[in-house]
Amino acid sequence: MSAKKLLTSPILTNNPIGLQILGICSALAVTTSVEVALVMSAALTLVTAFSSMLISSIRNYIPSSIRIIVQMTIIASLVIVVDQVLKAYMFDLSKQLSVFVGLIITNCIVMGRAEAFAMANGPKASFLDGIGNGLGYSVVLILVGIIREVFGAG
Amino acid sequence: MVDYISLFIKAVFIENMALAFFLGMCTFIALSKKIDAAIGLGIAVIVVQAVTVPLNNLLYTYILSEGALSWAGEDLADVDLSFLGYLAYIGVIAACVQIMEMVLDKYMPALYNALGVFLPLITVNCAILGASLFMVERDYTFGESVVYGIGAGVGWALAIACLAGVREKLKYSDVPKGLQGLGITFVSVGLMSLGFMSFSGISL
Repeated sequence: MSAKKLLTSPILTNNPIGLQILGICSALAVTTSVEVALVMSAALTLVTAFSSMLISSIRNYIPSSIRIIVQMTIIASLVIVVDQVLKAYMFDLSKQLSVFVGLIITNCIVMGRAEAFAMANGPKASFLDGIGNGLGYSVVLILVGIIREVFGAG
Repeated sequence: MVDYISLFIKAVFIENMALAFFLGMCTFIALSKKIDAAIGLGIAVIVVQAVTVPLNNLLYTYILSEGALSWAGEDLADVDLSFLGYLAYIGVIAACVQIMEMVLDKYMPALYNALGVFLPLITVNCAILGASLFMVERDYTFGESVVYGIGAGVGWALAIACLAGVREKLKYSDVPKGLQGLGITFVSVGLMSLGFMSFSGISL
């Protein structure tokens, strides 16, 4: 698949939230305002992209019986980095997001891409696929955020 | 005792994992087509919550929180490992689910066959990790964490069983074409959530 297709197809034709119904929890819970939705989208896009890349680059060394735990460990370490950065530079926002930054670990999109794409493709393609899916998630999150901020806050 | 009962009621109804915090939505929507399967998954979630939340509480109080390692010697008294939290909690959850699967397979094959398919799915259910994170954020004691774990599990199980009931009935009703399938499911979840929101005024 071409790089362009990897990036754009998850945004429109194969959107992770709208069409695959993955990662609904955070899409419903952190969209009360656009600001929070933006930070969450950025965090998730980064985690998906880098976790896909890392998992894909070591995919030939992971025994398949413990692959879930290996994937979880990589994802959790990345989430810890994101969480520490948020706590250091955007303390108020990270308080608002509370447990939902941690819940990126169990977000179905991250796990789903690792399992479905990164385990079978090279690191570069996986990185682009991660970014594409992260952007697809961001589009929906920001749209829902805009609607909810207008209706919810007036 | 009264504290524990009100914490339990709060975890089941007022702060329902699925309908007030929208946690565990992926499995909640995907596996609520049949009542039997929904109840099986619900029971599995209750058991895993009841084990992992107290375990993570012990882990947090004796290893991860600031100064918790002081029992291991003077040098370690001011070590703060709380940044390792996520990694530790998800590890505990994954390990628990794996061990439980093996134990059930060996000693309770009937229950294993009933739950078998759902157990691995529970590792990536955000309601489980969410309960552990809420427990840490609210500084529950060990006793409270046991009650909260069971309560959060029961609340989630109750919600998925109710939704499965609604969806089984919906099969026989005349749903407008554009809303069939997931559309009407989301509408029913929203209406159920509205119902549960009415508990939020109660303070215990």
